[in-house]
Amino acid sequence: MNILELNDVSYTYDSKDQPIEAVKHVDCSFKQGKVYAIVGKSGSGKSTLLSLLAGLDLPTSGQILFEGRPTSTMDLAKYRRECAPMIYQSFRLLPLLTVSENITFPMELRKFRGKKARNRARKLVERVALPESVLDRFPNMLSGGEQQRVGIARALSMDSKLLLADEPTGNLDEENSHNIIDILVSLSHDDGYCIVVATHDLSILPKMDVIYHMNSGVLKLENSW
Amino acid sequence: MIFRNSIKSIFRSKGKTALFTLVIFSLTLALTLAGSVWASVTQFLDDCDDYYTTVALVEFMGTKYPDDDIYDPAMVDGLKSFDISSIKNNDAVLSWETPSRTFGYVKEFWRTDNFMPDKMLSVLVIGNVSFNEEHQLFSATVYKTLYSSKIKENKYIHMDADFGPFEQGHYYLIFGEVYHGYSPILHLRPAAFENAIAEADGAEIPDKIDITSDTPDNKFYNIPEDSILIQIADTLSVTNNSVLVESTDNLMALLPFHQEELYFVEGRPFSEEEYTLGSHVAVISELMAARLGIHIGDTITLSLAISDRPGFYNTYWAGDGFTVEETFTVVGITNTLMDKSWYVYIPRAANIPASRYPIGYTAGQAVLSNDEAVKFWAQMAPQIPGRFQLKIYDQGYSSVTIPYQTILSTAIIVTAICSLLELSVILLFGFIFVFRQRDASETMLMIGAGKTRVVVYFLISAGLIALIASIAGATAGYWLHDNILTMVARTAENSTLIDNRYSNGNLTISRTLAFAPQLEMGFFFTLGAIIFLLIIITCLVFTLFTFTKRKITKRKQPKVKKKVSTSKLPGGLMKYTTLSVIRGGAKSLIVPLLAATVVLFFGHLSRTAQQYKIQLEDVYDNTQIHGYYTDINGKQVGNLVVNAYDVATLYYTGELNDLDVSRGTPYYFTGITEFADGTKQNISPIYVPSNGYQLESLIAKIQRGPDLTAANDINSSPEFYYSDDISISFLKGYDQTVLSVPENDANVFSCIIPTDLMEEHQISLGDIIRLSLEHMIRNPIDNEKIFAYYDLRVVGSYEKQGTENTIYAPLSLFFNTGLIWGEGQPAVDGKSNVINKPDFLSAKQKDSLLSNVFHSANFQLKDSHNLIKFKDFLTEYGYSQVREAGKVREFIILRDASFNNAVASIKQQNHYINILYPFLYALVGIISVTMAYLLITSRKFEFATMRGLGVPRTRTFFSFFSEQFFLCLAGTFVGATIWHLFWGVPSLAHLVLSIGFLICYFVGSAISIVIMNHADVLKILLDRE
Repeated sequence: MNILELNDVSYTYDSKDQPIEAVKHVDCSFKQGKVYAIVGKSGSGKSTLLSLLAGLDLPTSGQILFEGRPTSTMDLAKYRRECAPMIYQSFRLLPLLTVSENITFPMELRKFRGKKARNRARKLVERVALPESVLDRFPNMLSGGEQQRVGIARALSMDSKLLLADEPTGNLDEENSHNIIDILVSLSHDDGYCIVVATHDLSILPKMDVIYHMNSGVLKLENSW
Repeated sequence: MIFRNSIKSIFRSKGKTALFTLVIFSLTLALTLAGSVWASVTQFLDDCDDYYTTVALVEFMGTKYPDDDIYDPAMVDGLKSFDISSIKNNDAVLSWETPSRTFGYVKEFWRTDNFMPDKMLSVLVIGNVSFNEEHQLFSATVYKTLYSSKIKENKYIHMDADFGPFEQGHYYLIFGEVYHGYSPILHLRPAAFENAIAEADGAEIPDKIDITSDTPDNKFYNIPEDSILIQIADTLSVTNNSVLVESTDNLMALLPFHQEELYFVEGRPFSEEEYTLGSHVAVISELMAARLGIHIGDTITLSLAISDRPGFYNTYWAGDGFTVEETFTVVGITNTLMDKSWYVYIPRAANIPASRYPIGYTAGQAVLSNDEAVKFWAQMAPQIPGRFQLKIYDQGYSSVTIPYQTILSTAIIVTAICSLLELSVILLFGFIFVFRQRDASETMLMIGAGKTRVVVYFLISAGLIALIASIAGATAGYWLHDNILTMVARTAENSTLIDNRYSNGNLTISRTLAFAPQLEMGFFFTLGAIIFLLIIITCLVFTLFTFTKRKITKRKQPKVKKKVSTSKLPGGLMKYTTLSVIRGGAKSLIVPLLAATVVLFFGHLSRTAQQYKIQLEDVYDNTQIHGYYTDINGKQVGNLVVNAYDVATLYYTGELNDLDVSRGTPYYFTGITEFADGTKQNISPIYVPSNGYQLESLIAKIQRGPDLTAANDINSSPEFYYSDDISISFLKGYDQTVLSVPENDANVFSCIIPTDLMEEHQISLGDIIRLSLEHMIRNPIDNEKIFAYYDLRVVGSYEKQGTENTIYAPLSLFFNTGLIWGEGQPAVDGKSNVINKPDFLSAKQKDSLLSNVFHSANFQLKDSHNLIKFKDFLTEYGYSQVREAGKVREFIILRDASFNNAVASIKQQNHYINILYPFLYALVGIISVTMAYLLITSRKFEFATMRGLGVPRTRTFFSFFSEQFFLCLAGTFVGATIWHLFWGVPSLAHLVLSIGFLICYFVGSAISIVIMNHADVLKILLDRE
């Protein structure tokens, strides 16, 4: 079943000189249990597309369906909170919260609080191959790779089967990059997550199930295993 | 290329470029304008300091005050207990001068003024003497005038019978005093001649000498050359034409010159060299120059008499007494003031010896530092003892400069604030235009552009903006400064803090110096250039920083922090707020610190403002303002003619809580009619002689007598007005109220008499004495005309201050006190505290008041708050001020100088606060809003992350707002607690201001959060650093 489906999705930025069409008539779908990569040059529109998938904005035209429901009919904040977790190149962890609190933060938004939430955070930390000791640390006490794993754990805490990642390895060294990708692949293949990764790191492409290429806002299927 | 790219960079960031150009321009404009006000007002105050001279005069308020050529032994006594060194050594005193005066004589100068010591004494040769039986006097022809300022030769005169007897056909040398009777013929009466030298020689002075010639040389008389009357004539011709020589170190600081009563009509004052060398130069009056027939450059010869005896009249006798004779060149001729026409001014260093006894009532005078005069007065006035008075004459300096001093203080603060803002903007400009572009710097270095090119790249763009903004600001400042300075002058005119009307602080002339500053264009462009250079230097420093604080090639190492346990707080709205506050570290301290500082700052501001208000109220509550009627020069407190209706009207205003008046008339002591033990003595009244000339003589005799003064308070009578050590003994059962309690129905009025008079006439307390007055009545016993008399019971005795044996009686003796103090008058019944028109007076009462006069009147204001209102009344009524006659030719002085100075000083601070504080409040408001904005926007990634995680806007709003709310409130609480601990309960103003700050901060926070909530989350989240 398609968890996400894009029907003729376009997105245009308002600009002083002329509107910029960042995403042009994209039609595609994303299924659970697969890892998707969207590759392309900087400015090709892949991050814009990803943020549309994340519900950070609505398409200018066309529609995005999450589990068959158009995002335009949904409360976007709720959609982001419950359906479309995202991990970012620069991690975006809340600096004043510990790792545990960062992970439980989305749970608490859903009234899932207290000891249960902390126990779940502990399990998620284990799931992303971090020691339990990091739970009480602040993000700035962790390395980049560790922070990105916390980001994944936070995304997982939302209990959605979709996980969006914008350049998740962009700030990491090669070893950490591969570790993160391995986690994402494992989540997809072992736990049935649909993972969509926007990247220009070609070294990770062999681990991807489906590769889309984006060029000047146009999305093309490049490879599928 | 570098130049082109640099210029392009400023056009590509149009918004920032325009914003900073505008801000730098505005601040440069504000700074140049504030600086121009500072510079102009400083220059003006310096000019004022040069233009105005402030003089402090210490005078003795003797009974003959303000006679300027008198010797008063009481002053010598007073000086013995007066340590004048504390005045001399005060820091405000630039120079101190004790009067150095002596009497002298300039040959061929003659006087006609009324200040001649013995103007009426005459020595004459008379003959053809006859006795007029009808008028009981002698008539004679004046054959020769040996000395007289009044009687010419070959005139007919009358002489008192006391001169007799005369032999028919004889000629006499006669000495007496001229007086004017009712007839046009001058009278001569016997007179005493007091001269210590003559007395020491044992000389007896006859009133006439028969000089009829008994020799066959056809002479009718021979004047004996060694006659004492010839010597008196010689003496009078010198003493009555004497000059007063005044040595000085600073001629223009002497009061008549300082007050511009005396000014130069020809010549000049002494030069510095003449003062230093003690040159024999002199300044004389136009009258003296004319009478001597001399001009500038001519010389006069001064003969000076110095002796151990006080007064010129005791120092010179018939050619004997001149100890110094010196020649002086006249360098200046002044206008003629009648009471100064016979003064000769010379430099002190000429070493002409001064009289060993003080002449006049001036104990000394100081030239003060203009701007310290008020402080000097406040320090010294309480130390001035007894009858000495300290007066400040500042030529209007304080009333002119006080508003400008306030403006200067404000200008300094505004300039300082503008400078700080300008510096902050320059730093921000450097940071944003240079330091934040350190990527560009780094890239340029990496591609091998070299540091010089990087510096040029940044300085050209920044420099161009700085140049345009600073030159435009300076030019606009130059164009606008005239308007601003005109506004300053208008503000100063409108903010005069002292109402000097009728004030004893306004005895001085008011000189005017216009505020007309001339600032050159260079001033403005120098400021502009300084700002431009500061910007260039700042940008250069930031450029150099970009070489060391590299962004691309240096990564921050993660900080190792102490392990923190995860919070067990339940999730919810407040969790993030709480954790953010607790873990915010220094950031969490910024807001409370700001809030606490603001609360303390506002506390200080409101406390200062409140203290000034309290101080002002204290001054008002603790000040009693006295006032008195005076003469045109503001010197006399007695010998006035003040209409009773005017005085009553003043009292009816209800603004006075004390009114003391007196009225005197000369008396002749007739005798004791009843002794204290009840023994009566038959004392006849003085019958009016039927002979007109005898009547004239008798009236003249009574008129020469001391005064019977009816007063309601002896302390406020002219004799004691300046005295604080009056000594009175009362008969048992009596006290000072005896004068104020009406005795309209009493048969015998009470009186207080001088102890000297008691001794002279063997009077005891309780005796009844009879005093005859000059007006005539019918004797009820025999219906004959007699001089009116009063029988007065002596209920008190006092030590007199002067030489006159003044007798004090209740005011009701001469005046129906009910007209002013009677029941039904609004001021008495306390029905009104407003300015009343005396409509309630009947025509009879009004006529009665209009026909009465007082010879002195002084009062005390009920409430100093109403001083201005009272002055308005005086102005409306038409009362005259010293040197400024109104439609009512009665002059009033209010002794409010120190009150005015105190009030002005506080009001000046208040005025300054009123200008400055709103500015500070606005500044704090702007800072609080800006701080709120900066603190919120600095957390945009937190906002974006939360929004990205799907946190609703309302939740982010309340999360961040509650954090700011709590921090700000906590800081406010801390500030308020500290304030309470150290300074007590906050005032209402403090609370209002603190709440105002909270509102500003909360509104700033709310707006900032709303802005952040609507920021482009997408853009923020995808920012890849």
